[in-house]
Amino acid sequence: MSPSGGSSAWWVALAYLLLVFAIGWWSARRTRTPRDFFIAGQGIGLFVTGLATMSAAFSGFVFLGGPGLTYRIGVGSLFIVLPAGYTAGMLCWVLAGKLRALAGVHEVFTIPDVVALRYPGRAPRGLAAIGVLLGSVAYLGLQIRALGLLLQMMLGLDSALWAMLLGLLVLTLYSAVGGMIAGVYTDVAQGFLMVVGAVVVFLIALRSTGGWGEMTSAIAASETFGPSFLDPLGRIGALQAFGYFFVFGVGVLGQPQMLHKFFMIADARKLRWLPLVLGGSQALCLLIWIGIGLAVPALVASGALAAPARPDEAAPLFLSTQAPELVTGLVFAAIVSAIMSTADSFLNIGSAALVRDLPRALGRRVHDELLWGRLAVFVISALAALFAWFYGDLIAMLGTFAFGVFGAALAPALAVGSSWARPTATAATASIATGLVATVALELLARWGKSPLAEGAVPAAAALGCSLTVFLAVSWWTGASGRCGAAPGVARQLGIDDPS
Amino acid sequence: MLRRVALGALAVASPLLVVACGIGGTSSWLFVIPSLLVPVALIALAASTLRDSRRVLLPLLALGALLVGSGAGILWLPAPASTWLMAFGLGLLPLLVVGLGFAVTFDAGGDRE
Repeated sequence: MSPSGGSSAWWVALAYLLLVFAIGWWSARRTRTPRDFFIAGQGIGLFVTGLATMSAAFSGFVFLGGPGLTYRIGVGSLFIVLPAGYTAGMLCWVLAGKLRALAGVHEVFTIPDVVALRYPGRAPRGLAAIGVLLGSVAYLGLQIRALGLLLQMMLGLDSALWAMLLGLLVLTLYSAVGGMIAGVYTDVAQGFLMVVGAVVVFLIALRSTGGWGEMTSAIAASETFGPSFLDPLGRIGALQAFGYFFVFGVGVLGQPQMLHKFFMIADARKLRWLPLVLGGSQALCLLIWIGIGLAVPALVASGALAAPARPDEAAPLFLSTQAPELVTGLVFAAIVSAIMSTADSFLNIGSAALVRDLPRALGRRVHDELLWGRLAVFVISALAALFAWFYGDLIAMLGTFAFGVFGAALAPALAVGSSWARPTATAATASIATGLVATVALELLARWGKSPLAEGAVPAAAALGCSLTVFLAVSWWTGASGRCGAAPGVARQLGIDDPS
Repeated sequence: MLRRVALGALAVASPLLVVACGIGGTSSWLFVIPSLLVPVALIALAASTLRDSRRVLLPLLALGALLVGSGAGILWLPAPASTWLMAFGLGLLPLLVVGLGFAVTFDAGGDRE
C-alpha cells in the first residue's frame, strides 16, 4: 500500500500532534486530585462544555464510519444523524441541569455515582459500572480500528496491526498522563479543528462533484447506485432506518462520555445556550458525513474515482485524491482529533468504572484512585485493542453496538428515573441488566445468523425497547406512588420530591 | 397531568417497539410512531418536574409537529428533494426550535442546589 497525502500533509499532521502534546503537558501539571482527573475540577464554561461534549461524542464513527456506511446503504444512513437536530436540547432538558445540580452538592465523578445516589444499593451501581466498562471497551475499540485504518492509509503500511498499535500507544500515554483536564482542553482544540475540517471537506465535496445537483444526478444515473440510493430509506427498510433513529435519538441519554461533561460545567446558568452551541457544532461536523458520503458514490459513478476496496476507506480515499495536500493534512488531523478526543474520554470513563465504581459497588475502596486510574487506562486499552482486532464489520456497525450498550443499559434508569419518583433500585437493576444482556445477546445472535428479530431490525433498538419496557413495568410493580427511594436531598435536586 | 400523559405515552410506545422488532414485515411501520413519540415523551416527563412546566409545552408541541411533519415530508417527497431535506432541513429546523425553546424556557434550577 502506498502512503496517502504529500509532505505538506505530514507537516500539518505533525504540528497537530505537537499541539495536542503541548496542551496535554500544560494541563497535566494542573491534574493533582481525583476531582481534577475525573471531572476537570468542575470549572469549565459554555463553549468548552459544548465543544468538549461534541468532540467526545463525535469520533471515527462520524468521520470515517459515516461516509463508509452511506457508501454501503445510501441515504438511509442519515437516519443515524437526523436526531442530532433535537438531541442536544433533549439532553439539556432531561439530564444536564439535574446532573450539574447533583455534582454541585455530592461527590459525583461518574455516571455510576449518579445511579448510586438515585438508586441506593450496590446492584444498580455495579451493573451500571459494568455497562460503562463494556461500552467503553467497545467504543474505544471503534476508535482504535478507525485510527488503525487512517494510519495505515497515511503511512502506506501493509500491517493494520502495527498502525493500530502505534496510534494506541500515543493515545494511551497521553490519556494516562493528563486525565480529564487534558481531555477537556484538548477536546476544545480538537473540536474546533473537527468543525473547520468538516466544513472544508464539504466544500471540497461540492466542488469536486460539480455541486449538489450534479452530485445527486450522477448517483441517480449510475447502474451501480441508482435512484434508490437517494431514496429517504436508501437501501434499507423502515425498521432499520427508524431503528437507527430510535437508538441514536433516545440512546443518547445513556452516553456517559457526553453526560460526564455536564458534571464539569462551572455555573449551571451557562446551560441556557448549551443546546445551540452543542447542536450547532454537531450539525457542522456532520457535513463531512453527508459530503463524503455522497461525493464518493458520485465520483465512482462518473468514473473519476476508483471504488474503495472497503466502504470504510471512502473518506481517506476521497481526501487523498480530491483535496489539496495542505487540506488533506488538516482534515487527517481533524479525523485524528475526532478519534483521540473520544478515545481519551472513554479511557477516563472506563478507568473510573474499573477503579472507582466497581470496587465501591463491592463495598471496597481503592486507596489511591488517581494512580490506579492511570494504570487502568493501560488495561482498558489492551481489552479494546483485542476487541477491535476481532470485530470484523464496518466501523459504523461497531459504533451502533457501542452506542446501543450505553443506551439500553443506562438511558431508562437515568432519563426516566431522574424525572419520576416511583422507580426503585429493583427497577433500575432489572432494566440495566436487561439492557446489557439483550444488547450483547441480540448482537451475537445476529452475527451468528440466528437473530430472533425480524429482518432489518437493529439489535440495539430492540434491546433499548426491552430495557425501557422492563423499567416501566418493574417501577409500577415495585414502587410506591409518590415515594422516592433516593435520599430526600437527591430527590429535591432532581425535582422529584413533590408527588403532586 | 403532564407526567401522566408522558408516562402513558412511554408505556404504550416501549412494548410496541419490541413487538415491531419481533414481527417485522408491514408491521415495521409500527416502529415509526413510538420512535418519534419516545423522545417527546421523555422531554415532557422531564418538564413535569419543573416549577412551571407549562412554559415547555409550546416548544414541545413544536418539536412533536416537526418530527411528525418531517417524517411524512421525507417519505412523501421524491428524491433528490427528500435527500436535500434530510441533509439540511431536518437537522437545522429542530435544532433551532429545540435550542431556542430551551433557552427561552430555561430554569437554572436554583432551588435544586
